[in-house]
Amino acid sequence: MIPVSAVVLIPLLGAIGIVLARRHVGLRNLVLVLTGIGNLAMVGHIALNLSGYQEVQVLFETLPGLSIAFHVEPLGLVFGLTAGILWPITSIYAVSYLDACRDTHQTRFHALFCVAIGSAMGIAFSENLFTLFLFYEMLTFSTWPLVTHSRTREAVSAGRVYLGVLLASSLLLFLLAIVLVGNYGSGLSFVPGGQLASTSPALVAVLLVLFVFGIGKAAVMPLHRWLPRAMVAPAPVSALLHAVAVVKAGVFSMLKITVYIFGYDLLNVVFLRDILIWFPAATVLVASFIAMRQDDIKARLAYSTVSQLSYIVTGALMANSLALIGSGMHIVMHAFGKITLFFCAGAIMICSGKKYISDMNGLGRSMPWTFGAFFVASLSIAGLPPTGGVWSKWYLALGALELGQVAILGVLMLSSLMNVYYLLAVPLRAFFLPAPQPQARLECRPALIGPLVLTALLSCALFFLSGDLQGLLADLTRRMASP
Amino acid sequence: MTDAIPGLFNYWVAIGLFVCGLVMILDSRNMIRKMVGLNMFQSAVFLLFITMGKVENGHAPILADGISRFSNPLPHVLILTAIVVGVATTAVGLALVVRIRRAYGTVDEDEIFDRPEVEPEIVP
Amino acid sequence: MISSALKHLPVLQVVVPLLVAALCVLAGSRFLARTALILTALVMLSISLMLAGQVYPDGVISYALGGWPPPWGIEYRIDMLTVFVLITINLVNLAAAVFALGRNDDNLGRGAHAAFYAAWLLCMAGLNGMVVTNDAFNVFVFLEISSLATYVLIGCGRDPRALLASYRYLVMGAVGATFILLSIGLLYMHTGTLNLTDLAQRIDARGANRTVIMALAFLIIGLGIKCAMMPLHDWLPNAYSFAPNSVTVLLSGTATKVALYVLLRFVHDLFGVDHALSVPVDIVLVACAISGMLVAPLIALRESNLKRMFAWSSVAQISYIILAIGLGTGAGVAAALVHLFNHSIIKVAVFMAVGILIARTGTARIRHLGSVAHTHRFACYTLLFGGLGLIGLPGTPGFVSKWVLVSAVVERGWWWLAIPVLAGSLASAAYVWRIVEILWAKPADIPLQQTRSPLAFVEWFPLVVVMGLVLWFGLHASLVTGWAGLAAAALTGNGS
Repeated sequence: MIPVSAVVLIPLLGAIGIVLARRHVGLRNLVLVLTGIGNLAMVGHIALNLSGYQEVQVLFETLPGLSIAFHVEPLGLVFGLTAGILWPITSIYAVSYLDACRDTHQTRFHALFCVAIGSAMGIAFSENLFTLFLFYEMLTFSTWPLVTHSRTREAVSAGRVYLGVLLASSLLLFLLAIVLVGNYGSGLSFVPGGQLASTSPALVAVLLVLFVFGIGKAAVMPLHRWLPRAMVAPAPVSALLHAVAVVKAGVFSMLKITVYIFGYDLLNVVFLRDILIWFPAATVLVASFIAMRQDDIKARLAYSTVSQLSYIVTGALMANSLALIGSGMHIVMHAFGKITLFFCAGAIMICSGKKYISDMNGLGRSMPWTFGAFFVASLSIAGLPPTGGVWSKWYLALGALELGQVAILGVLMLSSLMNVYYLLAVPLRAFFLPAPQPQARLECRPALIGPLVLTALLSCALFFLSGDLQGLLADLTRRMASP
Repeated sequence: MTDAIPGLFNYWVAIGLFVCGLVMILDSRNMIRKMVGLNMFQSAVFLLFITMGKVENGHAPILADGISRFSNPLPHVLILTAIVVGVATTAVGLALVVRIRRAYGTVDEDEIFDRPEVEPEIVP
Repeated sequence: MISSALKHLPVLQVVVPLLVAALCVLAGSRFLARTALILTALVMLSISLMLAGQVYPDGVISYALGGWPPPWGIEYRIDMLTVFVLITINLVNLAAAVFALGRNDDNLGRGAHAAFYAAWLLCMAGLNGMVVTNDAFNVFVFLEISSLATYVLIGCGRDPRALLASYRYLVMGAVGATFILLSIGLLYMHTGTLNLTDLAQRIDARGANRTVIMALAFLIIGLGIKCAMMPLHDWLPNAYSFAPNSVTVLLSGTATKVALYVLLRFVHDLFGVDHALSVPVDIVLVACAISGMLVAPLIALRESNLKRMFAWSSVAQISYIILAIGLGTGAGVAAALVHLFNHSIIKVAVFMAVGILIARTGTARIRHLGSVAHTHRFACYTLLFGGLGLIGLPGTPGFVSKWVLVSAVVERGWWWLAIPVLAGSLASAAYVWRIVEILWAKPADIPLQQTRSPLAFVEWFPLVVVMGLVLWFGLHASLVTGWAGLAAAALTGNGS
């Protein structure tokens, strides 16, 4: 049996391998892709041998009660599998994207990318809050050089906002919450049923506020500013990190903490929850409004991400099993949809040089594959069949009904309508509006198009595969019911 | 209370010296005057120590016939050490002042700090 | 022969450097002095470790100097707390001594080197003496020995402003030492003894009166100056930034730490927490600490000199230790010790990296250091990791310190104090990241006369070793926290 920590160590070793192979481009890219595949194989191995991974693996014991430890549980597995599948695909895309940009710092880029993925894996399989926080901060710091990759003045200032918001929220609020849990709760480990059963209701309410606003990566307004600013990064970074790894690490932490630190029984009796849930709910709506007004395609996608992330946070705060299934599924569905959209945005920028939506009239006919994929992914984000996005929104809606909050159901539905409007508008404009001047065929090289078509197809496949996912998460809800 | 001034005479002297010394350290800009102030300041504490060892009608602590009250010798011994330490501090301080005068041509703090900051940009 | 030498280890800890210092001056040769420095540093660390081996089973070693039994004679007293601090400072001393063999950035003329190393050894003799002695007046004498040597060491900096920094430190330090002397005098007046254990018992028996409270006040001011507590910190930034690089390394890990140790001893052991707290000592210490941990990083953020920036960071980090002391609980003492050790190793690594960088690029001005990370990788990456430790990110010793400190704060019932502590880490993040941004991302604006000379063994070796310790104790902190817990128990057990 291979230990769970391999899933974290493989990407980190891959980073070292990439740095060592920096003089030989081909070898370096081979190492990159092999690391991605090795990592996926490892996550797959865990998923297929779940019964063998019941035990906690302690890597280091820093202090008594404060250890770096990993375990396997359904939520983490879902997140780990998502990141594991999308990483090799992104590697291929990233290599061809950076080659097309004639980027000269690819080694640094890929090595840090590996570190970031390793951190995301560490978050996914973390056994306690300390481990989670360790990898959370590692993720923040390893992505800073990626955000500022171009080293332009704009990128550096965006990097400052990025680090400022994420560090301020995590050091002031998140860490404080962890310390309070460590001192007043019964431990830092993630256990079904939570660690706070014996604490005062006031403390639980305070902790809830600290966690919701301390996990800046979940981008609940007003902590969302870093995400649009981070879009100065190259497209692969926006795609994998700011649609999958980083932001999903935030909402995943939120989900994991509500399930394993608070426990749903406790969460449902905290009065403040009913007020607090309106922060992510409002974010869902407001971010959608802002997204509608963005002309820069990456900015529009960024605000769309902010909105979709808050679906998951709202689901986490609903604290019932249907919403949990919905939130868990939405992590996957949104990841596949959004990565496709970012891949497309990158491909459009590389091949046609266009980044404003108003310039894209008629572009669909010169880049049919790209905009086709964009169309499919938009359907998934908006939650329309035949894509996987349907199911997650369905369960989230059921969760809202279960909670008895029809108003929140209304918010989710209204936002989905706006999704349809602001995302589908792009491919429709590209396919049906006339081009300002006749254009030659612009479609990019297959190495760029392949990954995005693949992820679009996977989004569709998830429509049919969602049963397995639902089964995995339902297993978790059963475990919570009888810890 | 009426005893406070004559009865605690030694304390008043020590306090007076102490304050004078401290004011001199804080107020003077001349580095040598500062060292003088420092010495006064230290002397105040030495004085306090020594007078505290005095016992009324006490003699020097020598074992001799007919003497049964001794002053406490320990403070004297301690202060002897402290004086040595004070002298050493003064010596180091004055040595530094000499070096400063060689480097800046003055021993006046204001004059040194009023100069435009010449940051050696690149140290070889 | 050997067994009798083992009995005299407490005094050897002080006498060895004292004697070798004299021999250095007599020898007068740079080579001999250097060899003597390294060997002595090794011997001192070994003595500390051997003392630890003796104390761990026995609990306390009481050594009567010259055979005069305490409380009349001078007593050297070794317990778990003492060896904790001894090992910390002697470890730092060894690393700094090796580092001093490299490029030192000093203004020593020919023949002055032996005197420099002699001053170094005197400084260490004084610091070790302050730690091992159990006699109040002896503390003062050793304090002055180490301070005088320190003034000389700082004055050896290449920049003429080192002389000014040294002079100002001398004036402030002498005032501080005089305050301590005054405090010891008042205590002697009240109790008639100088032995710390005896003093503690007599104060305990007679209760605190105005004399004791005055003594405590003078003591806190005096030690506050020596350990750079926030409003009394004025000497530190200039002293650190103009001293030769190796001296900065040495001082950052030893001098302030020993002053903090003495503060800990006096506040907890001598006055006992109850008496110390009959006047609001805790409020004073905590207030100074909060101002230090919030203000100092902000000044560091605006600092233009790399070394002085990290000196301000030291003022900030010392505040955490003072806060922990001010809590007045066993957990607080343990937290203070943990941070004392962790901050020492982190700061030593940081100042070594800074020293290497300054020696290579020829400037300490932050704005001239754009993009040097690409040419001086080793120094910059150690600086980065040290900086993460200063912020207190998980996986570094800084996190362990902060965790223990915040837990102690919460246990004391002052959970709101966690907020300035965490805000302080955020402020540290700001100044650390300012440097990182410049070192990695800012384009180089002026061509520096960089020397590409390869790193000498004596430069990289101590840094690698200290960095290894930083990494190790970031992940396995149980040894440090466990030992600190024992030391805290020894201290709070003595006081009552």
